[in-house]
Amino acid sequence: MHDAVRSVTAWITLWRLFRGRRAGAAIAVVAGFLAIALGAPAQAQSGGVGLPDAASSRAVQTLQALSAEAEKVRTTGVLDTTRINDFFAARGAAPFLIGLPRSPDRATTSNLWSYFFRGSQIYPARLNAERPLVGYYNVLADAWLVTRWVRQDDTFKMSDARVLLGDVLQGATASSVQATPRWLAELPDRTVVNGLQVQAAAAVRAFHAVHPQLAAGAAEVDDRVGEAFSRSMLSQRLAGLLGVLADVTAEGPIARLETQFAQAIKAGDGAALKRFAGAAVEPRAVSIMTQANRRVREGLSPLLAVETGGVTVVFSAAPTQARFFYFTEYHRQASGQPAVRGVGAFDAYAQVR
Amino acid sequence: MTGALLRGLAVLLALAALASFVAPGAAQAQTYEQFVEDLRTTDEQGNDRTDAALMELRAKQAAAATAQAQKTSQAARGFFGSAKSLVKKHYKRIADVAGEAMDVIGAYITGGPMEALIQFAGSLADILVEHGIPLAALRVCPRVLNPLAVTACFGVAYVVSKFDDEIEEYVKRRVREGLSDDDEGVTRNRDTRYRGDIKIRAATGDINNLAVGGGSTSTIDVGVARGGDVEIRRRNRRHRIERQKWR
Repeated sequence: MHDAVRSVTAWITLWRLFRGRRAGAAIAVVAGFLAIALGAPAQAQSGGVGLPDAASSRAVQTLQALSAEAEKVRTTGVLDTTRINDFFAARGAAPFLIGLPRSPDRATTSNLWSYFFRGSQIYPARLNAERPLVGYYNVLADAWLVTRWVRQDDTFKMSDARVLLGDVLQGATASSVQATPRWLAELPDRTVVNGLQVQAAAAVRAFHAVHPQLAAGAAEVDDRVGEAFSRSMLSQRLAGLLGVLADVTAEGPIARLETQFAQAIKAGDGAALKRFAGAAVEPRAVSIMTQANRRVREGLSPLLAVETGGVTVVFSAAPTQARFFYFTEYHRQASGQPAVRGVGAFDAYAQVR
Repeated sequence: MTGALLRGLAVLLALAALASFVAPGAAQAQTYEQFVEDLRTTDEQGNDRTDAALMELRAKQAAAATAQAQKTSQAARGFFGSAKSLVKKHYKRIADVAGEAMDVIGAYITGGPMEALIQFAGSLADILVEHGIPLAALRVCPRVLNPLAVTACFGVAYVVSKFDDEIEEYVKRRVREGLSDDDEGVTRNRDTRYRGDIKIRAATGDINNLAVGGGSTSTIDVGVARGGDVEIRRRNRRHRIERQKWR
């Protein structure tokens, strides 16, 4: 069995074990994070792929090959979205359209897409179909990029890519869709963490209801609101979130503190984390946060910022995945300088079944 | 012989010309692997060329470029301004709650785990109830106060999956004993009639999510959440027991 598949199934096994364990085990900061702390891989595609025992070898092979290409697309999307078609388009196709309505220039559009891919998780589907799918789900924007793939030269190439809003996939219409993603619109009835978890679970469930992992038939991507409308909403959502993030983290004292925090986590340096957070971090949380799988800690950088009143919370994730988040919370002191108020971590897909 | 050499030279020249002609096209046919490798070699940090480091750098560039565009470009200001207002409008809704909750959390953050939890949860519960926030969201883990504090700031909910048996036992024991009048942080209410209403709801005996509230005046005593379904026994100002369920 290929490493990717093996890691996926191993991860799921670990995940279920931890989910099923009685409470007396170790404390997890948030569901699932402990599994990662013990070294389980954090490949993006592991979030939603679970092959039953009876899965055909073809589906396994498809998953193996498709996941590898899908991961490369994600990486390219983060680094330089304009190159996706160059590397991954099927012959004669240019499936990925970069345009986002209202974006003022191409550089901004590229940054928005980079932000989209960095916040996305990969969900392969229809693995037994001639043209399987890969959904890139960005939980922050509550939006999918649903891509269709064809076999070509011993690998898979992308033949189609469409934006699909998470709420539309769950039945919303053009008149009921809001520019604000659901987790944000539901504040303060839910917290940010709980809102993201609930929304991610609902989104993945809805996606696989329409596009089961092992389905063989073809299916059109739901497009009842139209691609232009979806892109317009996606554009606004990404811009709002990235704009706030840029305000908070592009420069200034919080950006410097975030760098310190990321260095401590990346280095797995518990002492540095304690120095950073002081009394605002609980000892056992330190070990969980600093001993997480290297892929979760590597390249850690801010992905979401929430700023209100005198409180700012920054959510960070490794750019290779957008499932396991760290967060740091700051409050503004009388001097105007931010002080660390708390740190922690959580799994945004903890409720995905 | 000379003719053959000349013909060979002509062929080589033709091939060279062809190669120079197709070179730009060959550059365009760069593979993904070459693309990433080229980025690695031009990585400004030089000493860290992993994919993650490259993407981290790209993320920082995107944030910096966005911030700069918002400052310098009128079109970008308008675009990001309207989009950010959608985000900040929702953040604003929770600002008041966040401020109050943070004051409470700050006061208890360094306390002993168990007592601090109760005191913290009770005080927070007061604030949340006053703001009409459902306590279904209040799930706390005593050993991890600080991460909880962060989410508390946003209204509230603590999402934790596992608890020590110790905690379950602790709460059950406290329920069996009844909450004493001088029980620091749990409740200062001297009316003991409601102690019997404090129950642990754990249908299968496996508490996955626990909400503990210790109120002072108009609030929750103890609630236990399981799988998002919460029953709170609540005593209001008229000392009437209210049972509230949220899913």
